[in-house]
Amino acid sequence: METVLRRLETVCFSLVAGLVVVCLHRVFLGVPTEVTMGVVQRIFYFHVPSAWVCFLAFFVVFASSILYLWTRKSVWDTLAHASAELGVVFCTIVLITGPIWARPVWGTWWTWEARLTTTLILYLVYVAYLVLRGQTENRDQEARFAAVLGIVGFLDVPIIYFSVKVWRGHHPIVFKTGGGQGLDPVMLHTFMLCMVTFTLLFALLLIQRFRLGLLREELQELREQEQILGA
Amino acid sequence: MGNPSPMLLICRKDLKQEFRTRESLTATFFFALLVQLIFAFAFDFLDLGLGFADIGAGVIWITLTFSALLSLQHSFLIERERDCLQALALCPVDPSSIFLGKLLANIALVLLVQLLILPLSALFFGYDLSAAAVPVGLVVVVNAVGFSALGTLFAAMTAQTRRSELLLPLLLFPAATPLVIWGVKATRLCLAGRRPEAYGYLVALSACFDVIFIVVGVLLFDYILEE
Repeated sequence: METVLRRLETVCFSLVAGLVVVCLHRVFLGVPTEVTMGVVQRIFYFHVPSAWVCFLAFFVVFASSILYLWTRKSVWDTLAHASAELGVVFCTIVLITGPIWARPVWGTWWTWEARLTTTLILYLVYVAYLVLRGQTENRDQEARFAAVLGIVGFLDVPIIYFSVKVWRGHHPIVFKTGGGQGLDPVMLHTFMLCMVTFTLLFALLLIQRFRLGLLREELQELREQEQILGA
Repeated sequence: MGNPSPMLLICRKDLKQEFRTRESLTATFFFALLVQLIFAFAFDFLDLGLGFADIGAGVIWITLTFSALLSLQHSFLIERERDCLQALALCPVDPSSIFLGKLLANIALVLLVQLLILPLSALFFGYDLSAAAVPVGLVVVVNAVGFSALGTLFAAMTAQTRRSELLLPLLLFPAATPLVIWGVKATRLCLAGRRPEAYGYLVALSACFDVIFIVVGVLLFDYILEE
């Protein structure tokens, strides 16, 4: 598995390295400036892909949590841990870039709208997930508890979204991403390119973090063996 | 009486233990009372001209979530002493009945504290609860069930970790937001004297969440107890 992961990593790395440059060029120099929102709209090329990657990451946590409880193979737990960390990182990016955009466009840094509120709660759930991992007694317990939370947390997402929506009433959402009929094809292409790039970036980071986790486990095992031999 | 189910036995054990020591109940009640004091200072009702109908829902729900947290926490910390949790896990019964038994006892204790504190709260802030008592009671019961279900599941987990008092709120509050959000909203409508049509759907939806959270608990509790 190690060689496959390494190869995948190299492929992802070269793709991401190239695509990031293209993305940056297109976002800052290629696309036309949005008429009503102005320059700040360009933050969307980072904001939306980050949000997508964040949800993808939490889905990976959910899926690997189920697989862990089912198969009891520690690789799934390692994968879930890696993905949760990345999800939190990307969620942080979403929560920082969002208000930067909202301030000039909506006139406020924050509003308790369904999407925003859900993202914030989601963020707190997975931060708690990472804290929980650090506070357990042993490896097996950590994996089991984290898997349970990984499943409950993800199942909670649609419930939270739905409940915040009902709570706030059906407020019209003031904007649509890109929006309207007059979406410039250059904008759309750039946007899609950014989505692909961020997804690949996530894959790259996930593989790296996953490999690191595997190595850490290997080291732990070797240490335990050493202790047994030394004793 | 024949053999009561393991679920009821565990529930009875917890309640018996609580009523003998009254450890959690007294502490939780006085904590809830203390929260009322903080509210009186934080929202200066007289100075700000606010009525209990305006912010009573907030008072009720903050009191409930914080005091429920204490009793939920306690319900599994008592099992930690002398490895009772392990003994419980070794019981030749289905893990889901352990979960349900614990849950029943927790619901009873959480609601008991609310039963004592709610009239006091209304009294402190000069609100006549008699008209709204039944609807508010219903909302509190429905939402407290789901809250306790998630709380029981998470408390079983956090009691086995190093920092349980820190971890339980961290896990429970974000996950339980749907119930708190709707509980507050429905309670506010009740206190404002609105007709049941105005908040009935919120209570019904909360009841659906109760079912979801209980089912999730039943399905996953097994993985938390195993050693």
